Amino acid sequence: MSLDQEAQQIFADRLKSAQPQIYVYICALIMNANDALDILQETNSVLWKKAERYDPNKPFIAWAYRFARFQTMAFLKRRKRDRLVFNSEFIAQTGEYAEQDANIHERRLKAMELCVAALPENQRLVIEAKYYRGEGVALLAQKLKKEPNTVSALLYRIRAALAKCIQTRLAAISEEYSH
Amino acid sequence: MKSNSHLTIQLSSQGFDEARALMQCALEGSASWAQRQRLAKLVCENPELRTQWLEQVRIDSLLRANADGFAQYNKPHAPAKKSFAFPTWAKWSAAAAALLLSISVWFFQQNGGAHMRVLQSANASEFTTGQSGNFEKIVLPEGNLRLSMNDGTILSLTAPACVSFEKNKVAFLEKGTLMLETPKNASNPWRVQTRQANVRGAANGVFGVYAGDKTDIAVFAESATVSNVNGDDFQLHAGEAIGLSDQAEASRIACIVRDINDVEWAWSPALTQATVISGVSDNLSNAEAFHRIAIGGMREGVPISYRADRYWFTSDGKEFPSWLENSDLLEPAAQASKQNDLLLNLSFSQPALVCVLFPLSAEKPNWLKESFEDSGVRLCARDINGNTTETFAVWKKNVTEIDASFYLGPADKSKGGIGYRVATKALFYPSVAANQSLKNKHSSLN
Repeated sequence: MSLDQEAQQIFADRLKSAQPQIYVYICALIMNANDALDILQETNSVLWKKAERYDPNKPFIAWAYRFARFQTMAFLKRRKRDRLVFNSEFIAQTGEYAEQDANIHERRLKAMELCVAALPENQRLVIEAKYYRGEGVALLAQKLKKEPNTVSALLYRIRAALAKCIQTRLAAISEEYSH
Repeated sequence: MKSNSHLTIQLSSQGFDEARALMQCALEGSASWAQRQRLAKLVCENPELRTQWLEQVRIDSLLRANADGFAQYNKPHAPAKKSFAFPTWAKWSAAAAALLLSISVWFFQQNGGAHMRVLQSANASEFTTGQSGNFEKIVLPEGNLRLSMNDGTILSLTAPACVSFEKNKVAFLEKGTLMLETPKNASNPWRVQTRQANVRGAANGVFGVYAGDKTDIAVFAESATVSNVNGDDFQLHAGEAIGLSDQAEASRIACIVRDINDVEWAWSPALTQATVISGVSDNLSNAEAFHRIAIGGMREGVPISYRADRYWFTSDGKEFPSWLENSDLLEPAAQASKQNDLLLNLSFSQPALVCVLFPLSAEKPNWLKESFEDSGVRLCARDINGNTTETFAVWKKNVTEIDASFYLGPADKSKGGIGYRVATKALFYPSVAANQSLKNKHSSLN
C-alpha cells in the first residue's frame, strides 16, 4: 500500500467504521459466526492490500462488500475440497440483495435502540438474558420452564418484531437526518 | 405468493417452519453444514425467506454488539458501566462487539491482546457485567471473573490471578486459576500456557488450569491435549487431572473442589477449607481420575453432576431435608463405579454428618449396611420433563472424631454401576444467619 499518511488514516477510519456492516454481510452469506470472523479477517487483509485502488469519493461499504463476497466465495471453494458444497447462487442473490441498503446502518442502529425500549417487558428480559448476559437457549428454557424449541421460536419472533419496528421507524429517522 | 424469480417455489407453511427452524439453528451457531446448505437452498428459492433471513441476521448482530446498552432498559438494575478500549469510534457502531473483535483480530494479532466481554463479575471491583474491551493482561487480586471471547470461548478466572493474552490465541497464566470452555465449532481454539505446561481443549471441552509452583490441569468435559516442558504431548479426558512440575514430573490430583455455581474451582486453601473433607485417596487403576466435591452441591433443583441434565429432588415430593440441604456433594470418579474392589478413603477435618446416596435399585453392600443407617429419605434425579431417571436412598452416619477417616467400598455393578455419591456437612453447622448468607452467595452468582 503506497498511500500518504493522511490517505492511510482516512482509509483506516472507514475500514474500522465499516467492520460491523461487513461482518453482518458475511454472516448473512455464510450463516456461521465463526466462519464469518475468519472471512472478515481475510477480507480486511485484502482491503488493506487494495487500499490504493479505493476512490475516497465513492461509498466505502459497497466497495468493501465486493471483496467480502469474493472472500466468501474463496472460503467456500476451499471447503469444496472437503466435499462441502455450498449454494453459490444463494451467495450471489443474497449478496446483491444485502448490498441494496448498505448505507443506512447508523439509522438502523438508532431505530433499534428505540424499538428495544418499546418491547414488552417480558420480551425485553428475554433479549437481555440472551444477548446481554450471554445465556444460551437451554438455560433460558430452563428458567422459563419452556422447551428449548419454544424459546428459539420466541427469540425468532422478537427479532422479527424488532425488524418490523425498525423498518417503521427508519422513515421517521431519515426525515430527522435530512434536516 | 409473489415472486420475481423463475426459481421461486411456493412453500407450504411447513416449508416456512423448516426454514425458520434452520435460521434459528444458524443464528445460534448450531447449524451443521448440511443444514446451512438446506437453508441456503430455501432462501434462494423464496425472496420472502431471503428478506426474513437478512432481517434475522441483522437484528441478531445488532443485539449482540449492543448488549451493554440494555442495562438502561432494565429499570431495577443500575446501568452497566461502559469501558471500551477505543471509546471515540466504538460508540458509532451498533455492532461494537463485532467491530472490536475484528479490529483486535486484524490490528492486534501481531501484538497480542484479545477482545472480551464480561459475563459475570463477583467481588471484582474493576470489572462490571457487560463491560467489553480489548485486554492484553488481566490482573485479578480478588473475586471471580467470567469472560466471553470473540470466538465464543468462555474464560473464568479465580483470584488471585494474572493472565496475559498473547498472539495466536495463547493465554499465558502467570498465577492463579483459570477455567476455559472451548466452543463447539472451534477450529483454532485458545490455548493456556504456564511455566510448566501448554494446554489446548477439544471442541466443546472444558478444562481448568492452576499455575503456581507447579501446574495443575483438570478436564471437566471432552478432552485436552497437554504438553510438558520436555515437549511431550498427552491427552487428558473428562474426569482426569494431573500436576506437572518444572521438571515435567507428573503428580496425582485425587480431588477437585468446586463452587456449586461452577464459577470457582481450586485447590486453594480458601476453598478446600470450606469443606469438611480434608483428603480423598483410593485404589483406582486410573491414576489420573479425580473425584469432585461441589461446595453446597446437595440442594434441591441443582444438577446431579457437572453439565448433567438431571436435577435433585425428593422422590416423594416432600420438603428437602434441612439436615441434608447445602451439604457438600462428593461425586466419585467415573471409574469408581466400575471397579469391583474399590476402596475410597475419606478424611475429615472436623466432626461431620456423612451421607451416602446409594442407588435404590442396587443391592446394599455390607460396608454400607454395617456403618450407615437408612434415613428413610429418598432422592431422585429428574430431567427437565419431570421424568425420574434414578432414585437414591440416603444412608447417614455421624463422624464425631477429629481427623477421622474411613473407607467406602464399591457399588454393585450388577445394576449398571450408576455409582453412589457422598454428601457431607459439618456436624456443628453454622447458624441460620450464616446459612442465609450462603444462600445469598449462591443467588448473587446467578
